[in-house]
Amino acid sequence: MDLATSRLRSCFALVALAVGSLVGGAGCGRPYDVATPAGFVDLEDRYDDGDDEYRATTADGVVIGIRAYDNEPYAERAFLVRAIENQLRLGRGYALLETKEVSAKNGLKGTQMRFGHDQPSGPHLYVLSVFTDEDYVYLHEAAGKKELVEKAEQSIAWSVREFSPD
Amino acid sequence: MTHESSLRARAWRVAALALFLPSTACGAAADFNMSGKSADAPREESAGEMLDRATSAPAFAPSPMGYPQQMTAGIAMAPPPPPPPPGMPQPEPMPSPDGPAARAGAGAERADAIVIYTADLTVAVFEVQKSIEQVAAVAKTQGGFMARRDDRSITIRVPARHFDATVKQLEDIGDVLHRNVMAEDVSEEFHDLQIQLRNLHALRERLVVLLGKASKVEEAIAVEKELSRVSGEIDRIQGRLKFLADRAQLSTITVTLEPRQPKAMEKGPFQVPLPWLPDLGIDRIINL
Repeated sequence: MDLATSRLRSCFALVALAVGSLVGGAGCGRPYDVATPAGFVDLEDRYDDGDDEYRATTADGVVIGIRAYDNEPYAERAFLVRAIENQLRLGRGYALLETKEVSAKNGLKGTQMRFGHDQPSGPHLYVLSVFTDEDYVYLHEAAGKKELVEKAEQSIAWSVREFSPD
Repeated sequence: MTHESSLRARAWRVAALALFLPSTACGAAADFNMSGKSADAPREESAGEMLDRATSAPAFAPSPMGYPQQMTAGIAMAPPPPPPPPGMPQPEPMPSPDGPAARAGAGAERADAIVIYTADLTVAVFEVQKSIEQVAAVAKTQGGFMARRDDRSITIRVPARHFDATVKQLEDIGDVLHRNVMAEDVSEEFHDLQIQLRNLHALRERLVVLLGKASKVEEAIAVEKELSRVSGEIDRIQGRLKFLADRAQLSTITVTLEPRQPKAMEKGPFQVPLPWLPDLGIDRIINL
């Protein structure tokens, strides 16, 4: 290998490293696109344990979160919905108030579950929408005090509609 | 005592004896035969003795099953139990045999059974106060009403024919942690009381007649005293009958509501080993 080739490779490696750092730092590693609804602020990485998840909040504390996990072992949506219901309803004492089908921006179908729970500070709502494809499980969550979540209902629905897996 | 008053007293005793002799002889219903002579009377009785006999022997002897026994002497055949006194509600028909009451062991064999249905439910819910309102609303839709409520529980009364449907609706409000459905057959007590009441009414009528014929103050006082006792007993039995009829007509359901807590759940769920599953929930997302 001559000197020119070696220098060229080193240069490529540096560029690749720089690009990778930039992409990672900007949170572009998320396998989905999101849009922040009016009245919410995208927290970027300014939240506890913040890394590659999406978090947005209102001034009053209604929080939207989106995250994705590898769909391994592969599971159908119905299986995951059942597992989630068992976990939250039976294991954590959440009340399942409603279940309905929702669609992401790219047409991917998902299941939205609306849970209620009496927290020490009062009744809260937790709206969880689950999407799956062959590669990922996408979790779109929204939570807060019951009356505030009810006020932000339309914004949460808009956020779900605008959510778009890659 | 003059000859005239002596005759009157004698006639009074004879009449009273004739009045009560049939009922004391065989326990049958009193035969108000006022024309009978006392020629066969073994001896003359005082008014106090007659009063004792008049009030001690029941006209009908309730059977162990609650129905009047047939008189073996052939003097009187006991009639069927009378209807409840006016104003007393008739018990509702029984709930369906396949409902929770039946599952709890309620005997649905007898169509004329008078059964009191009660249920106690403990339900884990989201928002206790709102759920209490829900229970009250269920009572209304089933034609019932709220009888009592506090911060964590509510008691409702619903028509017995809606008992099953009401319990089913209440079970949908949340997760049922505890269920206790009871069916108490009070037919025997109810019919016994009806017979006792009928006997006491008859006794009271006889005492009133006796009082009208009393010539001495002491006799009148004794009859009045007995009348008072009998009237009190009638009131007590009527009250008990009314209570039983009310309980049978309207079932009582008490619902205790608890906030949903993991510890309140009887069994933990099967855990699917997905790494993100335990991270779900309100706490993680709102704690920024």
